[in-house]
This record gives sequence, C-alpha cells and structure tokens, in this order.
Amino acid sequence: MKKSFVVLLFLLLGSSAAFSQGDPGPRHGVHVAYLGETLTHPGLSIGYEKHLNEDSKFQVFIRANIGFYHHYRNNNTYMFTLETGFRRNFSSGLFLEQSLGVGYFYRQIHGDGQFTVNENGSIVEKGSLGNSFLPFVANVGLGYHFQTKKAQISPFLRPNFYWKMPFNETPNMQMTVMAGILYSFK
Amino acid sequence: MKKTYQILAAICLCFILFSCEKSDFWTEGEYYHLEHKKAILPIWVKGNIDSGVFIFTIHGGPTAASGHEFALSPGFQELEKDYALVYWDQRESGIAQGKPQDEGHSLEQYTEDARYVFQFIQEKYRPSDIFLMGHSWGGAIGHSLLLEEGFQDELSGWILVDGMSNDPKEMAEMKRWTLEKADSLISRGERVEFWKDCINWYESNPQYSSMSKPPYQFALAAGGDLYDDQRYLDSAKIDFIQVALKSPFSTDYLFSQVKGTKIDYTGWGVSDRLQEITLPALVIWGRHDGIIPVTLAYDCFNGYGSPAGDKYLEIFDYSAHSPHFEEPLNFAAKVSAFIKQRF
Repeated sequence: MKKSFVVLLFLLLGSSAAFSQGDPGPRHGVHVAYLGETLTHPGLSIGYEKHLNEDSKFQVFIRANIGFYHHYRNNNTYMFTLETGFRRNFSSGLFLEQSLGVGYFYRQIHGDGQFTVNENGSIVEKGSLGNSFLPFVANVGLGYHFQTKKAQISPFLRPNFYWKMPFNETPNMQMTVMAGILYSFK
Repeated sequence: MKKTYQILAAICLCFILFSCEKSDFWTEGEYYHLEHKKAILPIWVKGNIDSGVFIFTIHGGPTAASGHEFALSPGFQELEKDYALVYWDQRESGIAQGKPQDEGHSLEQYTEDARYVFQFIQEKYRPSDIFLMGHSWGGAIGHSLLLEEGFQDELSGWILVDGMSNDPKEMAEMKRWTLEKADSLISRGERVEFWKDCINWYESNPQYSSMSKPPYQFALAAGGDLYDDQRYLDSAKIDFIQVALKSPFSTDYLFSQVKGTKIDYTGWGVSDRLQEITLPALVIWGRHDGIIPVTLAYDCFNGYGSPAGDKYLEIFDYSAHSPHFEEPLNFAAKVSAFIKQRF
C-alpha cells in the first residue's frame, strides 16, 4: 500500500516536469457517465477534476469520482475514487489519458434474500450483507474535445481496472467501462 | 456538432438497452446468499420447486469451480423440468463473496458450510425429498456429510459423479492414467518433449501433496478432464457471451479459476467407511476420466452398504471427468430414472 502511494506521488511529481507554458486550457472539469461493470452491469459515475497545469496539450489532473453499479444477483457497489493522471490532447480534438489512484468500495450483496448463520447454528435473515474494499485504480481513456466559446465538451470512453486487495484473501481485479461526457471550464 | 450529439445519444441508448435487458435464464428461480464465518455463499434454487423433490448439488474444485456451472448444462436444465435444483458456491469458489479467513481452508469447514446451506434449504422449502449430488471434490464433501451421524436420514438418495472418496488411490490412479497416456502420445510423436518432461517430473517427485499442481496439469493436458472437446462444445451449448455479460458471474469467477487451492487433503479418504453409506445410491462416471479414474467408481459402488437393488453404477462411454457436460441428456435420463425409482 505504502509502495503504491509512493508510485502515485512519483507520477504526480514526475508529471510536473512535463509542464510547459502553452495556451492555458480549462482548469476544471466535471463528468457524468454511464458506468458498466464488465460493460453491461449498469451504473452511473459523476466526477470532478482539477487541472494542475496550464498546458492545453498535456493536462495533468487530479480527479475525484463517485459512482455505483448494479450487478443483478451479485452486488450493488458504491464507490469513491481519487486519481491522478495526465491527458494528451491532440490538435485534431482527440485525446488520450491515463491515471492511477485509490478508492473505497462498498459492495452490497444483491439477491432475493440474505441470511446468516448465528453462533448457535440457527439461520436468520439479515437485512443487508456487504463488504468494503480499498482498491487500487488504473484507468486509460480516449475521447474527443468539442470547443464552445465558454467551455469544452468532451465525450469519452474510459476502461477502469480495480485491483481489490482484501478480497477472499487473494488479489482480484475487476473491470468497469465508463462512457460519458466531460464538461471542462476555466 | 448536432450529428455528434445524435451519435452519442445513440451509443448511450444502446448501453442502457443492453444493460437493462435481462435473460430469462438468469432471472429464473430464487437466489439467496448465506453468510457463514465471513464467507458469503450464493444459493440458486431453480427448476420445479413445486415438485417438492430437490437435488442438492455440491460442485467440484476446491475453489476452481462453481455450482453455477451445473445450471449451464443441458442435463441439469432437463432435470429442472421435474425437480428443484440447488446450486451454490463454496467459499473461495465461483462467485462466492465475503472475506473468509485462512482457518477456513479445510475439508471440515467446507463440509460445515454445506451442512448449513442444506439446513437453509430444509428450513426455507421443507422439501418432501432431497437427493444429494456431489461432483469431483464435491464427492469428498458429500461423503463427509453422509458419514455424519443422522445425515443420511435427511436424504432420499445419494448421487456421486466422478467424485472423491480416497485421495491416495486417486492420486496413484491419476499418475498411472497420465503415464499411460504419456507413453501413448510419445509413441505417436505428439508433444514428445512435454510428455518426457511429465515422465521426468513423476520420476523426480515420488511424493507430492494434493496441492501440487503438475499432476493435474499433466492429466488435463492428456485429456483427463474432457474426452472430446468438440463433443463438449456441441452438447453443452453454452452461451459464453451471456455468461460474461448478463449473468451473476463476475471477474471473481475468473480469479477463482486461477488462484489455486489452499486446501491440503493429502491422504484423505473414506474407503474404509463406505459400507456405512446405506441409502439408495447412484454412481455416475466418465470412462475416460483422468482426474479421478474410473476404477474409483467401482470402489464406491462396491463399497457402499446400500442394498444391492438400491445402488446403481452408470459408466458413460464418451465422457471424462464431467458426464453432465459431455453426455448431458444421458446424464439427466440416468438421474431422473434413479429418482423415479424411489417413488
């Protein structure tokens, strides 16, 4: 865990070396997106990002997201993630990005009923069963910027990979796909 | 710009429609979760629940399997027309959730879990009859349950499918089967170096535990799991896209396949206690099973203490370790005939 934070810090500091003085781009962005676990288990993500430099070609950002998804007969997951990364903007409007981060997931069991075995061996219904995780997050993404006079509107597609450390005592990866709109402004 | 928004809107609509569409198959039946000692076990009760006749399955593994796999077999789907099927995932297996602890990696713990899932089914549905069915590693759990005091009284019958009963003999038979296959494949010039490595591994490892992976890997490579890949694909007819995108299966399942077991059952066996199993029994086995070779089928059939007219042995000629996938309709017919004889 500590090692990962060092890596994240390195990424953040290292990317500052790439700061250059170009045209100042937007300084903030918010997104709303479809969030699908393994693509098709549906959910929603909203997020805010702050750009840490003023280079319109190479944006370094930090981002906070909240979201949820519903996996029928498996789980409802509620998540919060913090990421940092960079976005390479091409003159055509296309952009590519990558980021790393950490998160907090609460995974609530979904089914027709949840039960637990008591210490005396009796089985009783339980209102809710769930677990929390602290996953590492790695994202890549691509999208396209549309410029308006006041803002930048950017549809994007972003596969997210979550590496859940305390799951069944074994590291376990999970994948979601985000598809949405990023609205960036100064 | 307007056109772009239209395209985006269309893409979003496709996502939403595809996400909201539910397959009937995966929404059928009733689906519960049972928490026990930090493991959360999914339980799927599917089929003709009103019949009052339940088949309680115990899947293979340990860990690298799921009870949900049974539901994909056309054989089980056929059985669901007449009976209620109970599919569930053991801890650390399939799509079981929770955070089970290290001390839970034992046959005893898995057997205890199975007993509570069984108790749950009894209390929830009060079935008129329950048949216990164990496949592969599920045979070890099933035999352990059957040998618990009074447990056989709860059942109407026992169905063993290529299941465990005697680890030392199973390992010895798997070795014999694999080395015979290796000799045969070397003589035919197939993957000669690989099979020589296999022979060398066995020569340099006269002793190994149940947790040792190479014996299983060699047996799988020799076709000990599937007799005929194409026949399996043709008969199983699994819609893998549905499984990946529309079912309760998650990436947890994929990881349970590869992470390996922490359960050491080296030396485990109940061969000296099989005669204590006296309830009606059906033993189903694939003739070409290289994981638990067919000699073990005869040991179980002959060893059970059930009256001669109450125990049956069915050897499937075109199957290896999973007759329910390789000969699914024949499998369903044999199981159904066995159950009907009880009434």
